[in-house]
Amino acid sequence: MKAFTHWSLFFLLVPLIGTAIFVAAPAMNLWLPKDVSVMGGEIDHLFYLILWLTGVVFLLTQILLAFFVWFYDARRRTEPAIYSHGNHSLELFWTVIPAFILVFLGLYQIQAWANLTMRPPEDPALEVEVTGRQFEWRIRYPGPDGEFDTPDDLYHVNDLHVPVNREVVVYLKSEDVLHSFFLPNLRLKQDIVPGMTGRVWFRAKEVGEFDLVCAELCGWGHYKMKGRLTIQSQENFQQWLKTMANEQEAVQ
Amino acid sequence: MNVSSTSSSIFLGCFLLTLFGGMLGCEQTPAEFTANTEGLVTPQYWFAEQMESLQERREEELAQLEDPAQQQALETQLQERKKEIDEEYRERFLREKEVSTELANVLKGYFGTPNKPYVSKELGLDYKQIALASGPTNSANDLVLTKSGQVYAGMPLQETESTLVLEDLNAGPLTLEKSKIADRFPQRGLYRQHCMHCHGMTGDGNGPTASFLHPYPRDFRPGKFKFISTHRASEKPTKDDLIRILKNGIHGTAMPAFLLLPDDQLGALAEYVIYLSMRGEIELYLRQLSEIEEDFAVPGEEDFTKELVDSGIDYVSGNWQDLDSKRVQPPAPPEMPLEESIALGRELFYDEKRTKCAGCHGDYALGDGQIQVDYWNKLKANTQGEPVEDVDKLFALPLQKINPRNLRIGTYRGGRRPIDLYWRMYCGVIPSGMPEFGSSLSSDDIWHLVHYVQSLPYDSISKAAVDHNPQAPARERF
Ligand SMILES: [Cu+2]
Repeated sequence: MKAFTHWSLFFLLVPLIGTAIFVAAPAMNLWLPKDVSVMGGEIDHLFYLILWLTGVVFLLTQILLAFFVWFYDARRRTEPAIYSHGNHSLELFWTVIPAFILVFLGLYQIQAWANLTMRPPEDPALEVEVTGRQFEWRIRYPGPDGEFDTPDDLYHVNDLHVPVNREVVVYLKSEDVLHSFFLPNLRLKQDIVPGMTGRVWFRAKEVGEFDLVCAELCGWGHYKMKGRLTIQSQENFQQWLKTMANEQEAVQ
Repeated sequence: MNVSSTSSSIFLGCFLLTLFGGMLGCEQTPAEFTANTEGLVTPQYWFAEQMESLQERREEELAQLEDPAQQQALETQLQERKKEIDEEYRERFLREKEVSTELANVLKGYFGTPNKPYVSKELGLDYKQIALASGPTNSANDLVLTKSGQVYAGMPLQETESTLVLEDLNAGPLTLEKSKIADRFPQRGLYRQHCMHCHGMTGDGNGPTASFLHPYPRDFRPGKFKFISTHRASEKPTKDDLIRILKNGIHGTAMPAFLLLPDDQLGALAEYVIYLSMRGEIELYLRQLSEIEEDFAVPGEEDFTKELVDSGIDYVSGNWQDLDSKRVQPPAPPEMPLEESIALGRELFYDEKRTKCAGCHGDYALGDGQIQVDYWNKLKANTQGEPVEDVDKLFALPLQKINPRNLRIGTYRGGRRPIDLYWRMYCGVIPSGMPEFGSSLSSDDIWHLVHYVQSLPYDSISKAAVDHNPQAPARERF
């Protein structure tokens, strides 16, 4: 049997299939979920930038690898291999360039990071507390007085309602173990540490129902922590709050 | 960043699913109901009790005897007694086995198995809902009415492209043309998907994850429920009660909220819980009768068995009928300033004759008044609430004590609405030992108590201590 002689082509399949998957993914609905946050564009931009950078390097290195496999094939080249001991300028080249890229990315993303983690809205339209618990999301609104821990607090579970086009601050707590509050459509993900109160904020730009999931394996019922984010118009949201408050006060 | 973490969690999820699926044996093993003997004096239970009292007697009497000859005589006597116990245990054991086999057959005829449930007409259950909830997870199956009028919702014995061969317990195998089958259900197995890993395949409250929960998941088979809205005499939840618990979960326990399940699925699950309860209750009822009626265990005496079974079915399904009409409809709360109502409620809370609330919930309502053993754990404990060791071992889950609720943390297991709290007090939480006040307090009094309880999470404990004992120096108030 004749031995397979085209290993270089075989290795070339890696970058080709890799690229093909990325190209086909959006059409197969395997790509990023719909972005409905005003901060989402920035996050996606960073994601794409890094994807392009790493993608180009990935393709170059893989093609080079396939080329070397073909070029130095023992059946093609009969002269003996030469072992060299390093090349100073080459090493400088592949150390300094990635270092520059890294520093560039570090500086380039600072604004997004600050907006996401250091600049809470000064006067949010809504504050809401979400408590992760094995295995559900307990939700609490401060009620008409705007203060938590008062008798008019409004309680709900698994279905987080927020108004559209308003600043929303979410306080995150855990009753037991590590959870992670993940709103894929808002590009927002924050681990919840028991004993600490986390704080995230967002402004949604579209009404609709979206996923709220736990992104930290938190126990055997982790999969049950699939909730819903309901983004409503301001009027509908106020109406919903009122209905919920009436329901919570039910005496008959 | 989203893509990588999502896909890795999908991988992990698949891995765990495989692992858990294998561990739970969800799909492979054919599901059968197992015999329920909890709450009954089983031969094993009887034997453990006898041995324990024998041991006690030995220790007591030996200590009083000093003469070795007398001691020897006592030992011989005890040996004799032990032999008697062994003999009786053997008899009880064999009889119990006979009863179990007979019962299993009888019940199978009325209820089928978890994979192939039947719903006898007498039970008054909705067969479509039972079908949706039962069976292996995500199984697509056919559900038809068989000749004998029973509903079949299980796997077919044989299946060709156009026909199904079904097993009908009364009429034998039955061939049906698929095109004539009225109801087809796209998805079954809701119970196994959402509930089984805690509440167990047969609703025995002993699924794979049960043992590390406090309180244990509910054992549906005795038909006892905590959060009900019906008059005392029924002690059963309405279907709405069950659905409300399913939707909101039971905050403070491991029962999660299923708010986002569609209504038809919630209804199906509640119906299946009732189905499992009915089956368990009828089993217990018949077992209890069989303890009185020796003949019951004799196979072949068909009439007698049928009579008993019919009486059990009538009795149990009767308890589950017309519950909506037994729902407690409270009158509106009394019209007075809230503070006054709270003050009246407070008085009632500490009333040692009429309510005795503080006796269990504690002087400061912290739930530290008294530790309880609930209905499901009672058999494992003695009168002091301590585990009876040999008996405790007979149960799959060891004794678990429960605390009365701490009323100051704002966690309300049965729901936080005023109406929920009203029902808790009016109807009681009977299996946990919380009495009902519907027959002893007026509705106004109950509303006062509701208002007081609702005010507790916002009240300072020190203030409660001062109010309680104003004269005492601070350190003596507690
Ligand atoms: Cu979680």
